[in-house]
Amino acid sequence: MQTKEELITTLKTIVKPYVQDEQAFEHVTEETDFIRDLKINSANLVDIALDVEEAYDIEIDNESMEKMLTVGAAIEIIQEKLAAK
Amino acid sequence: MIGNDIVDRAQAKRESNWQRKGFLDKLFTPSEQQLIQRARDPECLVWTLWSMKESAYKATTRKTEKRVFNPTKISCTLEMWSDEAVDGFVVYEEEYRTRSLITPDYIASVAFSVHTLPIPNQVIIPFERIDYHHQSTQLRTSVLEHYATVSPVSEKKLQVCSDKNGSPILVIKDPLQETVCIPISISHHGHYGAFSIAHSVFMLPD
Repeated sequence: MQTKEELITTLKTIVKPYVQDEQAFEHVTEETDFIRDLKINSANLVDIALDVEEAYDIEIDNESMEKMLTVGAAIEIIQEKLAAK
Repeated sequence: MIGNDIVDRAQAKRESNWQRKGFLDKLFTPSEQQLIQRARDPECLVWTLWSMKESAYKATTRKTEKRVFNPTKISCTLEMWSDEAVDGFVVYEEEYRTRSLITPDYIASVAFSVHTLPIPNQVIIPFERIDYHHQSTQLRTSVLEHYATVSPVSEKKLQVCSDKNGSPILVIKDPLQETVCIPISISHHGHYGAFSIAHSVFMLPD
């Protein structure tokens, strides 16, 4: 399994096309909020979930997607789903 | 409570591929998906329903502060629709009525409590620049200008602030009266911004 740093790097590549605030993107931490900080359009959160599903061959159910509002939360969900594979 | 949302149709086309596998399943309930499949212009209905959901989400979150991303828990029904406007109901923890305006350039919705009359106005502002901070400042200025023209309050006494939950409010400060706050909803996407001002007011606690 990828380390947390590797997961963040992969996630950043996934998220990049949807980011509206490039400045905030340069300083991404686990606390970074997709909508509030990166100004990602909420409809694109679905694209992020779908891209994550494809990249890791996992399924993000609605209960998990519900919490996917920050980088840290997304990482946790990916780790959880990978561990359950 | 009040919430509003606007979708720049050209921007939505660039940003999202609604025909992508799994996309509709994650955003819409089975009955909404049926409506989309049967629609004459499915893409238009996708963004209309989406803006209805967003506006109701904002109205509920204002109160509950609970931020979650689960669009299928917000369910829409349509009451009346034409090529230019849609009236509907949206349930997200509570029931709202929504009114959506459809133009070739944007789709804008406002959600309000079912018994609210008259239907709250939604003001649309076209932008030349897509810079987020520029638009944010511009929209707040437009709110002040608008309220000063529709009410007897002068612009000098008005201010757009955030309440303790971070939701926008219009504050009327008058040295001779108690400070009054009015819930407002602000939205922007692509080249368009929109706002709605609630009818209700509340006093600022000391």
